Amino acid sequence: MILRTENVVKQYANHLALDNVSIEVPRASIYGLLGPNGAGKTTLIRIINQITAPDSGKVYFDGLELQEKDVYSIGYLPEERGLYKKMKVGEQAMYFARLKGMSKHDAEKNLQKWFQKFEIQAWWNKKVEELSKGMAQKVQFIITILHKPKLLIFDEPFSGFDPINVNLLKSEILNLKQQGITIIFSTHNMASVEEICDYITLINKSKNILSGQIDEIRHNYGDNIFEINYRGETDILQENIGDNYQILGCSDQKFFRTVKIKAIVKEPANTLISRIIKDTEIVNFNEIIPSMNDIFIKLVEEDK
Amino acid sequence: MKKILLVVKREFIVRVKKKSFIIMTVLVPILFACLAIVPALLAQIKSDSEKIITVLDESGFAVSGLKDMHTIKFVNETKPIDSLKNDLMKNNNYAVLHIEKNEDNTIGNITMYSEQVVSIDILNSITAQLRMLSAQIKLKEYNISVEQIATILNPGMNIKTIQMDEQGNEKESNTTALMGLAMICGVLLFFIILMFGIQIMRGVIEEKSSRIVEIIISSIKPMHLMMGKIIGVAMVVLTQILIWIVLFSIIIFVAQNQFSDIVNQIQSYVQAVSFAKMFICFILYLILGYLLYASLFAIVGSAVDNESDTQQLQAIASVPLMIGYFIMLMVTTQPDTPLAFWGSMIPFTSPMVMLARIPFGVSWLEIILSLLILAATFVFFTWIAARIYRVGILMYGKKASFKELIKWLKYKK
Repeated sequence: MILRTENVVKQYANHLALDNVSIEVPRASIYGLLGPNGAGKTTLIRIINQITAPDSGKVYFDGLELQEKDVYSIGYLPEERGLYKKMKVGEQAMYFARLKGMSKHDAEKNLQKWFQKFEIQAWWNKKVEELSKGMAQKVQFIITILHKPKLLIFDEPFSGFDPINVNLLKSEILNLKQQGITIIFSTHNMASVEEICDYITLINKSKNILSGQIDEIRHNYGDNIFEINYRGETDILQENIGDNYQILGCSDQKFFRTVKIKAIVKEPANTLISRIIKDTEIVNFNEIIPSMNDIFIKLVEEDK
Repeated sequence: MKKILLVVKREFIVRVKKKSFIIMTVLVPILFACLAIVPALLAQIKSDSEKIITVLDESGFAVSGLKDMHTIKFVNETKPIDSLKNDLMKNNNYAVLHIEKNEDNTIGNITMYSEQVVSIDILNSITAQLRMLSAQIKLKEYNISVEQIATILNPGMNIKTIQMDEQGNEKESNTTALMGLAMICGVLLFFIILMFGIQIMRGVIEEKSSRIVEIIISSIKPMHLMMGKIIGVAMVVLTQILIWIVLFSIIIFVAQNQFSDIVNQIQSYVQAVSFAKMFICFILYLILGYLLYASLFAIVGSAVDNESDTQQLQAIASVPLMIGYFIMLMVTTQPDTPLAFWGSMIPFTSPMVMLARIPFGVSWLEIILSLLILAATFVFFTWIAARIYRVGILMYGKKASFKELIKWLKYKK
């Protein structure tokens, strides 16, 4: 575990921002922090960054209780982000790098490397106000990861990027994971969660209402619906699968038929397959797994 | 500590590189030089283009009496008035002065014909000359000379003011010089604190509204960020003052002749007050006063999202400063009132009020007491400001009321 929070509570003047939130973030994973607006994600992130302190509860980083020097090992890209408009890009990047404890020499060397990688060397002497929003975000991304933190926290990192740069960023994030860096990733974009996250935590109304590995969660929230493409007679199929299953719908395609089956009594998928395969040729067998989007909406709605 | 230095360095460099800083730093001494030199130059130019006024004096009193002024030459004529009026346009003269005679041989109606409007200056000086001439004629009738009457009316009385200290040493003092110096120092202090206090406030708002602050305080404590900002701007203030002193000295040295008045005045200041005391106090009060108000302006900046919301809250910082300014103005004319004393002890007004009092003689004990109070208040308010600032910079969306500021003060981290 790179990061662990234990029963973190944070109370603001008239509302409870975090109510006994515990999360465990495994090393070298991409960890999605999900939740509707105002659920308490930003407060949790601020606590991890030591911008505010919890009222009670503990935060452990790399095995030890969170300390002041840990800010050097954490990189944070806030959702609403800004740069000094009147400052030159290079100067500014140097300033932030040095605030994160890098030496002048290292900061300059690493910045040059990243500017080259993102092909933005020409921006070094430009003022930030001359950059477009997307351009400024690239600079901010570099500033966030420059000091080689063990833990990166991105709050909605893809907003404001065009699809090409989203891909560039995604591949960079996966690259960082390869290098053993852990990434906490707060977003509303469920498609990108499914695509790159290994684990998630869903925070709603200041509470952690769901935590775990993403595949497991999706599986657990499945409605046991299967979609099968086959060649053969529907009547025989129905007879073979028995009363434990209900056929939701059928349609004929050009070369095969498609059927949707809901399991009323839960059985391993293999049992179902062995029943069907008896008198029917299976072209395609699929368990329909709910998207993170569906799970998110379902849980948040239920929690109302 | 290293991080505070990074912030100080950034604040300093960004501000010093700004065009407005460079312009202010260079322009103020140049403007000052212009104010002193231009009138002298103008006077020289004027004398080149002499204005001629033709005088038709029927009364005869003024014929010998009107003296040329430095831009005006009087030419006596005896031609009839109508032909003189015609000549006015032809010869491109400035004006025709027609002095008529009364039946009893005194100066009668006086008329001036001119193409342009005659300037008030010229009119006044001609009137004064004619009045003098008329008086001379009258005095002659009583057999009194002009010189005699001058000594009667203006007997050359000057009150010499001498300051004494407890040891009985006497020192000549110059009340106008004292007041002048007190005013200059106090006003300067007021404007520097106000100007740079607002700069701090703007800096805080910029970081807050652009959300830069969130990135910064994930690497540095809010208190350190605030201190770095305040110290950085203080360096800018000191740099600017230093450059001004150097530039002023150069200008005054180079153009000594044009500035003889000012040089004399400075000399009179130096003689009248212990100049070193004044200078030391000015720097100390400037630094401490600035630090106190800077933390107040930082509070205001942290409590709002954008500059247009600052109006009301800014009163927290600007009203005490204004009060200090007005007490200072009163003190320069009445330096010994209880108001002056308390004004120079209460930390929010003391920087200005004490500076205004010093030229009139304040004991070191009082100054040190006032400085200590000021320093203690500054430490206390920096602590308060840090607590409010820390909460304020992360509160978005609405501007905080005064009540909320108090609430923030009580927040744990």
